[in-house]
Amino acid sequence: MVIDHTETFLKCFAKLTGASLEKMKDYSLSNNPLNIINHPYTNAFERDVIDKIQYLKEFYASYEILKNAENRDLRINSTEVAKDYFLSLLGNLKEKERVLISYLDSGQKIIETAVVSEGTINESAIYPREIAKQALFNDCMSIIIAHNHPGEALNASKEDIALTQKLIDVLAPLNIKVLDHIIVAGKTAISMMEKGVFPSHDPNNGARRVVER
Amino acid sequence: MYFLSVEEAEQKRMAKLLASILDINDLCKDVVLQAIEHKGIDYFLENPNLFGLPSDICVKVGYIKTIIETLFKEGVELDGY
Repeated sequence: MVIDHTETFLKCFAKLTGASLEKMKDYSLSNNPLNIINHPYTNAFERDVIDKIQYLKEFYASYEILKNAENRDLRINSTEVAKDYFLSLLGNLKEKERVLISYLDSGQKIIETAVVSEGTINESAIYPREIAKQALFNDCMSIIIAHNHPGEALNASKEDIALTQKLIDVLAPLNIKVLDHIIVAGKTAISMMEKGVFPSHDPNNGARRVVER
Repeated sequence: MYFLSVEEAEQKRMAKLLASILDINDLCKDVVLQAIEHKGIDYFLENPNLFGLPSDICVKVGYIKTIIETLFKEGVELDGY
């Protein structure tokens, strides 16, 4: 595939990463040259060149997320919109788990989407009390929680359901609804509400914990 | 636990990655982070020379701008992401 700005792209790529221009030109004869960012190993580049290409790839992923995050006027009024929105923010993250919360106004317009936790794979720390404080600070009417599964498991874990339950129970007395919990795995997103695993508010939750002690 | 907007989180990540791509020291890394936080990534990529960075770094930022914009305009999807 030949694109008119191939030459400029390849020259910049070579100068920045130290990759051989000749090797890239050879690759471009039978491949889309832009795909070189996806396949640094096929060109037998040196280790430091491959590292730079990986950094560049991650930088591009981050750039895409930033561009998607600029969509501030979005109204999350359906599950499909919620899934698309969080897919755009979490779909490019594969190296770690990130938990996001969107604070919504009465018209379900996003007031703010915040990163509330970032962890290693399968491990993120969430404190509902802190989320409640942030929800009050944002003066929101509802929230949607979302996180990614770097291992691409497309189902809600027991921990995911328990966390959702905790948030619902903490926020309910403040009249703040948890509308859904979206889980992003690779290029797909699921809604816990849609899957029928979204918990309902248990008003006795706090009292029962006291009795259990 | 911390609260960062998605934008802030990505800006920090980008500054860190830029430091690795550009081989810059901690001082320059701080300059890059401040520039991205205050002016946005597009402004920084467009005008790296306005932030007191060495000229060879500015030239490399120009290369990154060309590469990223080309990938973005062409809608290249990343494998494994």
